[in-house]
Amino acid sequence: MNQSSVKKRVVVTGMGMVSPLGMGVQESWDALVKGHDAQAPVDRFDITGCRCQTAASVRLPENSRNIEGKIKHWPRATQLAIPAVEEALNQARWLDTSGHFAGGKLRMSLGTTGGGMEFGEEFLRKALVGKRFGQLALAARYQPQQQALDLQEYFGFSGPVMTVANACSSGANAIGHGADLIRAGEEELVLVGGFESLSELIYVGFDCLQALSTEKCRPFDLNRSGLMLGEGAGFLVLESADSAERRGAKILAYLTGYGHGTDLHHLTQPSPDGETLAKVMRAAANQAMVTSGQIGYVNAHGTATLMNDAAEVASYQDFFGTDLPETKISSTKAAIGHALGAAGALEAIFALQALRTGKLPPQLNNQSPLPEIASSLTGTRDVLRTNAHVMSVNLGFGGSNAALIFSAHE
Amino acid sequence: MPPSFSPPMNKEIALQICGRGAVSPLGLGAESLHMAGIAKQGEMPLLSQPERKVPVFRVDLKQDALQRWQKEPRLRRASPLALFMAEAARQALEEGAEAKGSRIGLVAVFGTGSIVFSRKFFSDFSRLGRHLASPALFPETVYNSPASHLAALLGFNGMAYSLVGDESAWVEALRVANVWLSLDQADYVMVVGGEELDPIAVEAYAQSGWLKRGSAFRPSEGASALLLASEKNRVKPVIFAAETGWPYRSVLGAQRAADLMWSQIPKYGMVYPSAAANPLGSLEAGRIGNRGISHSFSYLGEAFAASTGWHAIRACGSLETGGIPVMMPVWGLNQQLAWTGFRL
Repeated sequence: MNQSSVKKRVVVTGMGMVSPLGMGVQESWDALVKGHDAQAPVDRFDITGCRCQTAASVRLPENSRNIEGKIKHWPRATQLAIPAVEEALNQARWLDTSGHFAGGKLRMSLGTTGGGMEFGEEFLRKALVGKRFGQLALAARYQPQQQALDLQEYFGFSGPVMTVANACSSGANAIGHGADLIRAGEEELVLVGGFESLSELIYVGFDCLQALSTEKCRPFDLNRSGLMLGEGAGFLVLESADSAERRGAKILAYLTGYGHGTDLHHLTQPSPDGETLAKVMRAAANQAMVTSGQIGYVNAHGTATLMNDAAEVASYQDFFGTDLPETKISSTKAAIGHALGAAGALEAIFALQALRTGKLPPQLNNQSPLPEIASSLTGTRDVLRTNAHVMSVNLGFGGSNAALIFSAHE
Repeated sequence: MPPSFSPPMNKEIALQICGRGAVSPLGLGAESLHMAGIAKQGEMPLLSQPERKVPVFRVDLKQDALQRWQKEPRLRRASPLALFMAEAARQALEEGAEAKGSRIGLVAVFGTGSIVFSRKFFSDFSRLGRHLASPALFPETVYNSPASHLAALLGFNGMAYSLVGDESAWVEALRVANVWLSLDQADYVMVVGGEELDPIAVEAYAQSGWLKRGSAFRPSEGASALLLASEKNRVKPVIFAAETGWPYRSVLGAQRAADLMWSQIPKYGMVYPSAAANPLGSLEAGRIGNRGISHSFSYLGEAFAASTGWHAIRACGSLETGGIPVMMPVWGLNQQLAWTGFRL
C-alpha cells in the first residue's frame, strides 16, 4: 500500500467498561460526575509492610456471569475484561442472541501491563518453595496473550491479536492502533481496549518507588503526594464509517486523531519540559485536523506524582498556549485510580462520555491547584463548550506518550 | 475453545529488509546464524529444585560488543535482554545505514520480558519483606523497559510498541510495521525480538513436559532485529506476507489450526521449517510432506520472538542463495499459529 491509499474515517460504535466506580459505562460515569472516588483498603492480597494500604478495586458482583463456571478459574484480568467487552459488542450490535460475536473474524488490539499477573505470582511462589508439579496452568495462563484467547473462547470469535504492553499508555496505544488498522485499510472492524487487575508485584513495585500516596490522590495539586493504583477494563468497538453506515449501526463518535511518541529522557521520569507529549498532541491534532483551541476537554494522565504532573502541565502550556485557560482538564485517576494498562482505555471512554453528554468529570481532591493550570481544572458545574472536540492523553514508564482525539458525530 | 477458521488473507504487504541483526547462542551478527557452528551450551537450575540442572542454550555475555553495552549508563541496571536487543538493533542499523536521520519506529516483541528481574524482585521482597522491595529493580521488570532503553540508546523518539505474545507476536509486529509505513508515520521500522533465560522460565518449560529426558528441545535466549522499509528496489529481500489468527488451546485445536493455516500458505516456493525439536515439530513435518524445504541449519533452541527472527534471517539467506520465494510457518507455542513469506 502506498501513501495515497485510502485513509478511512474511524467511528466508535460500542463502548464498555468495568471500573472501580461500577459495572458498565453508565454506572461508572454517573458516579464519576457526582464526584465519587473509589479509594479503599486493599483486601485482595497481602500488602503487609507497604507504606500505602489503599487502592481503587473493582467489586465484581458475586452473581455475575463472568465469575461462574470455568471462568471462575481464569485470571482476574479476564474476569474484568469479559463484561466490558460484552457491553461494547452489545452496544455495537455485534452480539447474537446467545451472547456470541455475530461475525466470524474479529481483530483485537489490546493493552495491558500485567496480564494475568496473579497466576505468574502464584507459579513463582510455589516454585520458590519447591513445588514442582501441577502448576502448568499458572505458567501457561499468566501471559497477556492468554487473556486474548479467553475473550475469543468466551465470545466465540477468532482473528489476529496485537497485545501492546507500553506501560501506562498501553490502553491508548491499543485504541490508536486499532484506528490505524482501519485508516490503513487493513480492517473494517476492530475490538480495542485495555485491561488490568491489581496485583501484588505491581502494587509493591509502585509502593517501593514511593509513588503511591498514603493520602488522597490529588492530581495537579501543589501538595500532591502520589498516585492511587486502580484496575479495570475498557473496550471500544471501532469501525470504518463505511462499515458502520452500511449496517445501520449507531455511531457514537469519530476517533479523529492519534499521536504517539517516545520520551527518551529517563526510564521512569518524563522530560520536565513536556516536549514529547506536546509533540504527540500536535500529531493527534494534525491528524484530526483541529487546532488546540477546538479541543474543549482533556482527560489528563494526571497521576498526582510530582514529576508527571509538572511535565504534563508544561506540555499543556506548550500545546495549548493562549488557549489553555479556555480548555477544561481533569484527571479521573483521583476517582478510579491508575489502572495502568487499562488507564488509556477507561479514560478515553470518559472523554467520549464528556463528548456525548456535555458533562465534564470534576477534578477531585484538588485543594491547591498548580497555578499554571488552575483555571483549566474542571469544576462541578463546568460543561463542554459547543462543537468542541475532546482528547485523552497518557504517559507511561519507558517514555511512551499517546494522545487520542474524539469528535462528535453530526 | 476459540473457534479456528481460516481468516481471509490480509492485504499483501511489501516490507523490504534493509538491515539484519542477531545475538544468539551461535554468536553475534546475522552472518553467524548461517554458519555451521554449535550453539553455546549451558545449564540452568530449576527454580523449584536448584540441584537439578537442565540443558539450555546461552548467549556468551563476555563477547566484546555485549560488554560495551554493559558500560552504557542507561543499561547499568538493565537485564541481559536489553543488551541483546540493543546489539541486534545496532547491527541492523549498521547494515541499513541509509536509515540514519530518518524517522524510525520501533516494535519490540517479547515472550517473558525482563523475567530475570521480575523473578528477583518478587522473590527478594517475598523473602525479605515488602518494606525492603528494591526500587532499582522494579522499573526494569516492566515489559517495555528494554524497548525504552533501546530507543534511548539509538535515539528512536518516534512511535514504539512493545508487543507481548508467543512466536506469532513477531509476525504481528510485521503488520504493525506495515501499518506505520503505509500511513507514512515512519520511514523505517525496527522489529526486535528478545528473550532472556532464568530459572523461573526454565521451570515453566519443565512443567510443560518439554524438557523430558531425551528431548532435543532447548530453551534459548538472545535477540533478532530487522530494519524494514516499504519496498523500494529489488536488491534486498522483501516480506510479502505476515498472517496470524489461528489460535488453539489443545492438541486437537493445534492440529486443526495447522490445517487451516497450511491451506493458506502458497504452494509455490520453498518452505523454511521453523519448528524442529519444538513441541509442534511433528505438526510441521506432517504438513511439509515432500515439499521442497530450504537449507537446514543448526538448531538454536526456542526463544519465542527472538528465535522467530533468527529463523526469518536464515530464511532470507536461503532466499538470497536460491532466488526462490520462501514460506515460513510460525508455530506459536502459547497462543496461535502464523506464517510469513519472503521473496526477492
